[in-house]
Amino acid sequence: MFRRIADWLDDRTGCRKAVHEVLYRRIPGGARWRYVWGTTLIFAVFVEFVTGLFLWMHYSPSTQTAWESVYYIQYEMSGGSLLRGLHHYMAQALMVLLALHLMQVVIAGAYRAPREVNHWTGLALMATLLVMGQTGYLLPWDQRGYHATQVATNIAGVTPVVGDQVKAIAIGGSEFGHHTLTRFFALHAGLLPALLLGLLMLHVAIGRRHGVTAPVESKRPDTPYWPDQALRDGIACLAVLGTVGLLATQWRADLGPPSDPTVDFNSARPEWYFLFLFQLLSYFKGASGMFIAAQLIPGLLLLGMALMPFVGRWKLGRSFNVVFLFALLASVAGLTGVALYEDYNGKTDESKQFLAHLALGHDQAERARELASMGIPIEGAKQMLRDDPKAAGYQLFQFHCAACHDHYDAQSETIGDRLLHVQGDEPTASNLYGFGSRQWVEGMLDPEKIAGPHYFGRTLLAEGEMVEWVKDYIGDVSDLDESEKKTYAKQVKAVAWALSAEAKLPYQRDIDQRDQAQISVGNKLAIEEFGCIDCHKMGDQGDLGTGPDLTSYGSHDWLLEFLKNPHAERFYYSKENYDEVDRLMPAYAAHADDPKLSDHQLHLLTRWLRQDWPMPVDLKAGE
Amino acid sequence: MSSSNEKPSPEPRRSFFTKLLAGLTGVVALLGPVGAGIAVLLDPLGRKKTEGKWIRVATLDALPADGKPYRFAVVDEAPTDKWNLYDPQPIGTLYLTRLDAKATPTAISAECPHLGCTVDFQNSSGEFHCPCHSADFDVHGVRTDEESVSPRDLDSLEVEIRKGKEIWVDYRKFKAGVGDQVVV
Ligand code: FES
Repeated sequence: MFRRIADWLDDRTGCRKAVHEVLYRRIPGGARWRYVWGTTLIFAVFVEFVTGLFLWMHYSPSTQTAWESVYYIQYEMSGGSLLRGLHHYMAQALMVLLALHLMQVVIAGAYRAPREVNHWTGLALMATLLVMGQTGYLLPWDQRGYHATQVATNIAGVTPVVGDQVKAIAIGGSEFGHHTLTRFFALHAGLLPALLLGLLMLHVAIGRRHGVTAPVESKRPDTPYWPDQALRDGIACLAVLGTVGLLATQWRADLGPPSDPTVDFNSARPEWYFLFLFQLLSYFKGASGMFIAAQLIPGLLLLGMALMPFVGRWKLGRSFNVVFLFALLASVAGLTGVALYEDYNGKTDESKQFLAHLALGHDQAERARELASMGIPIEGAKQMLRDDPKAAGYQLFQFHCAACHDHYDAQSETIGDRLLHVQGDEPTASNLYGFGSRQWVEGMLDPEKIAGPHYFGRTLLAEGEMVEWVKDYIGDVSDLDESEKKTYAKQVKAVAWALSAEAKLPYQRDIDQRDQAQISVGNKLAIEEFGCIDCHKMGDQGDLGTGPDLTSYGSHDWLLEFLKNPHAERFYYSKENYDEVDRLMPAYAAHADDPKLSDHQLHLLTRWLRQDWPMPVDLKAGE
Repeated sequence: MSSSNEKPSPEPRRSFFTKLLAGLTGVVALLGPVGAGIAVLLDPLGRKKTEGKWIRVATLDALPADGKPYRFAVVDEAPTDKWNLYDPQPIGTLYLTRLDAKATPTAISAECPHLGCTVDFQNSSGEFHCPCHSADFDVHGVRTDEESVSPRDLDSLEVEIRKGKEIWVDYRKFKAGVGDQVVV
């Protein structure tokens, strides 16, 4: 029955002969392991096509959906992370296999007549694959891809004569946007794969025509492809797949923070196989440097490889070609190594900065994922981060506050969350980390700390009455005995806790609740014993006009009003210091019609300072 | 099927014409759709360049007159991208410097002329530094290395004071990687 169908089919199509030709083609000198490289390359391309197709089914190229759809594939869809990992790492494996194949061809001199055309199709394949890698890097529309592609298209822009046009056509206008994505996607998933397939078919067909380059000295008999060589090819492909699969599961393909040109991203680097070019760029200075480094040199190298068949005709030509290729690969490896070393050595200032930016990028990406897991608004992930108190608050603080203020956990040895870590190079005011928290207020009432750099030490207030009071009143315990000292320390603590409870900080909600008893004791002490109300208003006690109002000190509303205008009577203004207030903190929205920061921005900043931002429920519970 | 090839053609003139016509129709038929596609592909070339835009960046009280560069966002009131019209959005950043209370501020684009990364002003060294390929510029945006990777100094932008205190800047972007300032 089976046979009959097969016969019928063969009669109409001649398929038997075709299959036979493939399976039983003669391998000169018999099956060998060194013949597997070509097949693994084809296999890798096949994997890219398959995984790419499935990624395509779930990818949406537009500036509000590209990152978002990739996020969804990677973190929400079952198997998505593996699929994307395979696609990502197989592309890199392709580059490695390509280099090996090229080395093999050049060592064997397999580009010589009559194989010249095949050599050229091979080089064209390599170029196509490199462009596919570059276009694919942009598609997730994360900060890395966005910034690296910006560099790449700027390089395209310096092409003599047609540079501007090439760039405009590539990015679909004068700025990156929707059409940059649609065009890159069409290139990456349409035009280039078609070209690749065509070239590959040509390459394989011509290759078949000439047969494999048999080692001259071979005395072993020829054997058919099936099954000996087929088995070797199969094992090699599995090995490649296994390696890539391992990489994909061990190190998930990265997804950086969503692209936003207004958020600095100083750790953008191209994919590793372009790092040598990146490094080369920094050696060529001046106006034409970039053209030389990024276009002329790579172009000449490619030309050198294309000319190998002709050079190979000379006596020493073949050895020359081998030396040329190895020198080339060695310099690529060397430049890549230098680029990596300069970034990751951790000793030079530049490397330290790079690593800090890299870590910041990770934390931004992490935050983007947290928010995305709660659902991305229709405006997209970029806007989502711009409206997030944590991510945007960090940006705002960096931009508007960091010239004077630090914001980092001085108690901790490690840096922790980079979105909470701002360490300026010459701060002139207090460290606002944990503003209003118990730890913060306790430090404020600590005679050792209040005049230190994290509080008033660097400001005009170092000479002020508060510092004096803390030093004289709280600091002077000489007339107390040991046990009295202990009770007194407890009282100071209670006052600090009471003041801190005014802030109603979200991360202190539980302990504020728990310690209600101490807090009311502290409140009473502050008013009746410590005499805070001599200078400060606290609820209905005390008056404004000497020290800042302590009612709801550090709460959202208090902080917001303070940022708007710290010079108001409620805060720093008093009759005595009135010529000094201007030299303290600037007002950010003193006049409603002309604010330095908008209401929205001030709210974000306030919430950031209070570490008050949305968290996914399951993460909250895990804490 | 193969027999017709053996006979010489009786009408060579017409055959030449037919061949020409066949070739032409083929080429036109094939190139027609490609041409239509290419026309759309080239659409960006036909569009007018958006010249600089005067944008209000800050007010004078927001800029200390201490000769140090301060960074400000440049907000476009109505940015567009193809079919989208967005709410006001920052489209770039620049540095404003005011030497003293009387001087008009100067503006420097924060975009590195080398390849377009964002330069950072560092208080400790008093220089602009580009994190990408380490180009350095002094407070005025002039390259400090004799052999800088950057093909030109940081781009300065025109500034105007309006209504006595508003700082307006003619914001433009310039082509990266070339010696001359070319608006993009
Ligand atoms: S982009 Fe600034 S130095 Fe290269």
